[in-house]
Amino acid sequence: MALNENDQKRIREFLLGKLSEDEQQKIEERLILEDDLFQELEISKGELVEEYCANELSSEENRWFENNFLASPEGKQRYALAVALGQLQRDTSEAPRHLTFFERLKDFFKQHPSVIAIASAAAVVVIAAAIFLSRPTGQTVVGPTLASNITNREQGSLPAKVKIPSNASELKFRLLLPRDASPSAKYRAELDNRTEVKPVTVVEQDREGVWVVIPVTQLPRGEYLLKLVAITDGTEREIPGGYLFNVE
Amino acid sequence: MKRREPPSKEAFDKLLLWFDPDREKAAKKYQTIQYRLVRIFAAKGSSDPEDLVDESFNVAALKIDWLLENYVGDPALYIHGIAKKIFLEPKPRPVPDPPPAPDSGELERRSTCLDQCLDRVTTDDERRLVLRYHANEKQERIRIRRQLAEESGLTMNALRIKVCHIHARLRPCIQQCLQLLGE
Repeated sequence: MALNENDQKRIREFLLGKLSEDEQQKIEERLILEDDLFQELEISKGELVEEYCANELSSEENRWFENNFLASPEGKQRYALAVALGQLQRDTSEAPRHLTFFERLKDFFKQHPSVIAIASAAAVVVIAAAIFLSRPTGQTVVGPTLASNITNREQGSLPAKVKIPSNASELKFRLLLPRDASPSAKYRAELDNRTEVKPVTVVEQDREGVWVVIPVTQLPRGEYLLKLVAITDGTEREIPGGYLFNVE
Repeated sequence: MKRREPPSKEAFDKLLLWFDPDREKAAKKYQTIQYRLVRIFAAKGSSDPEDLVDESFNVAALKIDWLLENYVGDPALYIHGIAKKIFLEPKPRPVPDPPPAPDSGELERRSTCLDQCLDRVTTDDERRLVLRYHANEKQERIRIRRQLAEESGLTMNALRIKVCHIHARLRPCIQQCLQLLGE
C-alpha cells in the first residue's frame, strides 16, 4: 500500500510515544505486514536520532526518545552514527578535517597564526593583484593568476579573493606551475569546495601555467582549492600544495 | 522475562509449515517476521528485542498444534501479539540514562570510524551524497536535501530511502570499528 503524509506523521508519533494504545496496535500490525510502512519506520528512526542530536526535539520528545528507542541496542548504534555525522558536519562548518587537502591546509593556518600575521603585509599586495578581474570576454571572465599555496605560504600570502561579476557564466583562472614542472606533462584539475571534489576543465597550458575554466554555478561564496595533477607517460602526480581562492 | 523451553525440532518444523507449506518461503517469512518485530520492539524501548522475539517464537511453537487447527489469519500478527504480551510482562525496568555526551576523544574516535567506514562500505558518489545530505541545519538542511534530490533525479522520499540504505551499511561498520578502538 502506498504511503501518505499521514503515515509518515503516524510513524513519527509512534516513535515519540504519542499514539494511544489502539493506534499503536494498528500501526504495529501494519508495520509487520506493509513493506513501505516498515521502510518509513527505518527512515524515521534515523531522522529522529539526527534531530535528537541536533537538539531539535521538544524536551518531552527528547525524554521519551531517550527512555525508549535510544535505550535499545539499535538506538545506541544509530546514535553512534548520528554523532559521527554530526561531528563531521561541525568539522565541515567550523574546523578542518583531515579528509581533504584543503582542510589540512586550513588546519596549518589555524595552528600557525604567526604565519598569517607575518603574511598580512605581503598579502595585501598579492590580494590586490588577485582580486583584479579582467574585463569579461563574452561570458567567460578571466580571474586572478594563482600560485601554488606552498609557494604562497613561503611568501606569506592568504588565499586570493575573487569577486564574480554579475554577467559572468564562468571564470577562467591561470594556475602557475612549479619551476620543476615537466614541460611534456599534461594536466587535469579538480576543484575542492570542502564537501566534494569536482573535475575542472583545463582549457590551455604552456610551460609556465595552466588555464582552467569553472562555471560560476560551482562557485557560490566560500573558499576553494584547485588541485593540479600532472600526467606524464600515463603516470599521474599531484602538484604539491594547491591553489587557494576565496569567492566573495 | 520468563524463560520458555526452546521448541522441539518437530514443533519448529510445524511452525515453519504454519508460515508456509514451502519450506524456503517459510524460512524467509520467519526471518522477515523476526527482523521486523525486533525493529518494532527496539522502537518501543526493549533492551533486548532479539531475545524477546525469540521467546515469542518459542511460545508459538509450544502451541503449534492448536494454532494449526484453529488459528485463522496471518501468523505474523499472532507472533506480534505474543511479543507484545511478553514485552508488557511486569519486570524491573530502570529508567535508562540518556546517551552520554561524547567527549572530544570519543568524537575523534567516531569521526575516524566514520571516515574509515565511508571508505569501506560506500562508493565515492554515496560518500558525497551522505556528506551533503547531512550538511547544515534545519531550513538550510531541507533546502540542500531538495537540491540534492533534484540533482540526483530522485524524489525526496527516494533520496531518504537511498540514504537510509547507506546508513544501514555504515552502522554495523562503525559499531565494529568503535569496538576495535575500544569504546
